[in-house]
Amino acid sequence: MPVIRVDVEYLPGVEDPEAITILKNLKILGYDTITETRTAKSYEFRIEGKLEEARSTVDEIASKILTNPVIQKYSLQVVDP
Amino acid sequence: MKESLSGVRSVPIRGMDLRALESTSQSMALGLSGEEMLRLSDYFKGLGRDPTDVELQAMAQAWSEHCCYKSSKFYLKKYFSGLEKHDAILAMEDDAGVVSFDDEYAYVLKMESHNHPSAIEPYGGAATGVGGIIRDVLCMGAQPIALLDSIYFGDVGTRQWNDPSLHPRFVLDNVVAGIRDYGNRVGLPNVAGSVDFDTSFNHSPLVNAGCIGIVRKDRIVRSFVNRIGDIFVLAGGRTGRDGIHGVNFASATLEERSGQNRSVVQLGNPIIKEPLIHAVLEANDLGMIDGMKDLGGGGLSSSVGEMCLAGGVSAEIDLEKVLLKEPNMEAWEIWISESQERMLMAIDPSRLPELEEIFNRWGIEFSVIGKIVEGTNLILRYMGEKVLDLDLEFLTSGPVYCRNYDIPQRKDIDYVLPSESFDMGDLIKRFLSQPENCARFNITRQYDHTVRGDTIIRPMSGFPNHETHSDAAVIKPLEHSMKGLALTAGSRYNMVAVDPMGGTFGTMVEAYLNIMVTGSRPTSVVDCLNLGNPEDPAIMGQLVQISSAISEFCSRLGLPVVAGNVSLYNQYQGINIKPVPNIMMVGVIDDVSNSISSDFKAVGNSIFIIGKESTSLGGSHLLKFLGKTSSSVPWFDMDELKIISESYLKAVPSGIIVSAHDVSSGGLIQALLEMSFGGGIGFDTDITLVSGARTLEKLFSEGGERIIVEVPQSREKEFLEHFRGIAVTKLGKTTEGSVHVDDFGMTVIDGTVEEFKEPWVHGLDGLV
Repeated sequence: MPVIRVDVEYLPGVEDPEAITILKNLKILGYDTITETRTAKSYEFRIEGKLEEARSTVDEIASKILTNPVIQKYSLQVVDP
Repeated sequence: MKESLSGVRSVPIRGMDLRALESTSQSMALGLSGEEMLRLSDYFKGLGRDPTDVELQAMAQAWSEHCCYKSSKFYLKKYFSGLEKHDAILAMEDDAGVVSFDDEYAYVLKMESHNHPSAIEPYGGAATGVGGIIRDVLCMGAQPIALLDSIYFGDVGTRQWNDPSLHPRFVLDNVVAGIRDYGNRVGLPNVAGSVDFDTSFNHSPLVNAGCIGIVRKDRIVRSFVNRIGDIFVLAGGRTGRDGIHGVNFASATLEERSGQNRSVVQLGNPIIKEPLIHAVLEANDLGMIDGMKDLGGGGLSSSVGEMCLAGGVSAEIDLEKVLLKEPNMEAWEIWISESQERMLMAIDPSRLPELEEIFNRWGIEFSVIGKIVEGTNLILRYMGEKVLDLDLEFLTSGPVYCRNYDIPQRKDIDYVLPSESFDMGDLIKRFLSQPENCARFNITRQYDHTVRGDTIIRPMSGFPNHETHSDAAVIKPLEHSMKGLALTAGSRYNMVAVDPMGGTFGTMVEAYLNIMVTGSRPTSVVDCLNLGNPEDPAIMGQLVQISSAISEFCSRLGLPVVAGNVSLYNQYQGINIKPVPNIMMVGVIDDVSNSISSDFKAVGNSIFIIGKESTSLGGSHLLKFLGKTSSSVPWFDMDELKIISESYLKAVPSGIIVSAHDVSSGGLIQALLEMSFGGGIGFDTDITLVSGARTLEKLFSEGGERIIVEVPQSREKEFLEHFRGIAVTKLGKTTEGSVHVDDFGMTVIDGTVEEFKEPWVHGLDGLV
């Protein structure tokens, strides 16, 4: 059964408050070498059927439900064909 | 186009014809009309040079609907400038209204719409709406103490949705999440507001965020600067490419906002805001801030311009001193960026070291970006070049349109009510289960109501598992004083849609009653008007009628309008929203321990209704539920309201009234039921004497200035004596948990509190 992963992240230029807060606190804790942090959300789907159909289903879910194209983008990755 | 070291271009608009001007406005995303571009081109012909791109962008910001209210200013001035100030210290003058609280303190309030951003990115749009309104209160030098929100959504339950705009349920869930996350994280209680549903908000949801703060009167900071030699300090978040052209965007209808929408919406960062509030207030406590403004729509361009113009001074700004999120930003981008969490302060340069110490301690970045100078021209420099040199008056004041308005004739519609052979109890249960009429707990429980520890009456009253809606929230802002503030916000937009003037009176009456029933005296009003496309004379007609009604109500009841906001172009594919005058009202109570909540307190107490009869169902929730329309709304009697409120407020300290609730949406029956949902105490009533109308009309009319009160039986005589001369009708008494209504000797409703509460409590389940 195909397993497909969707990564949802902010578009470049959209400020990511969570990442900023993490970075700030890492600096307080002494991790001086870190210069940038970004966050993303990962979803994994196990789907019945062929890989191509599964991919198009996940693509539809990702674009319709998991992301708002105004601030986010997504990418698909086949974890297990 | 010429390029220079600073990357700033000169735009040759002097030689352009109307079409070329229009296409320049479009390609630079200025949002200005051909005529406005012509005015600019004439102006620069007079100066004998072409504008820089920075200058053009600055003009476009200043002249946007959002910044200069070009469509509404004329009428707002006409209706609001003549109103008396009463207890207000600053009314319609600065970023927020300021009203006297006691001898030493004042409260600061403001409500603003964030509709357009919330339509395309509901989470970020709503969150930054909350963030922005907090800054408006903070920039008066006040400690923000509570939030409130009025939100309006489309048909959230629909399964038929093929439109490219976001599904109303997605909008609902994300707006609520945005308000929740920002408010809870910044540590402010969300105590009041309203939630409404109507198909006219399907593509144009409304998010109106309000905030209230408290400030010592000698620490009020004005939104202008007039001390030559002061320096401008920009503190808080950095400036980035996010939020560019947000205000131009607000002057367009939704379908025009296609393409590059990304940059106009941001997520907001409450984790920076919280220490920023502390740092600003600490600096203000030491008296170092001479003038302050938050950065919202229009960014630096609008804040610097407005602060200087109002103070009769000018400024010189060095754009490269502005701290940036990303390198290589163009000069115009820095100048008009609407990045969140920024405050602009004017201070004496000698106090900079003190300010530095405070801001460093709170971990807040800042930089000195320029100074205040004499003169009429604002000057911007970037990379050693002068990139903007414009007359402030011309730049900031903007055009004023006296748009035509039209008040369409209403067709007379007589609604026909169903004959009363149906089961009334069943009808009421179905009515109460509608999103429009049910409990808002699924939403309000996501918000923190009690952080800061000042909340006396929360949005829900009663005890755990037996709670009901409160009319207004009551907070106690000062540790050393029992004095309190009552807050409410909302609109009777169903009535406004039928009759903008009558419906607005209804909205004002409800807000007034909400404050009054808690035992507080209303002392200020903020109006947030949400309308469709102002280029349509009928929409301007709504603006005129709504404004005149607010103005008349306030002058009759002796209330100042201290701040306001107008959101236009709430339109999608030619369909305008129903007009929504969202009213925030605030009152003062001398001793919060006397405040009255809406839940029934004890079995065997007497129930009365105060206020004369109303039988009209016009604009009511029942007609909407039954799918019927009307052409008129109930009459609201402001003289009666005044008399009732004087008597009521006098009765409060004596304790003869133990609970009270106004009759508004859902009429008498919903008011009675809501009182019983908090605490589970029922009622046994006879409504024969309420009026001579049909039972349905008696139960569901939303008209009049009516409140239901619970009075201990032993004090009934005292109560009647006190309200002598005012229409008071006894309805019955409170019971153990049964609900019973008789009319003309017949039983109309017979059941239990629990069976009516069930559909009401769960109406939003599965939606949010």
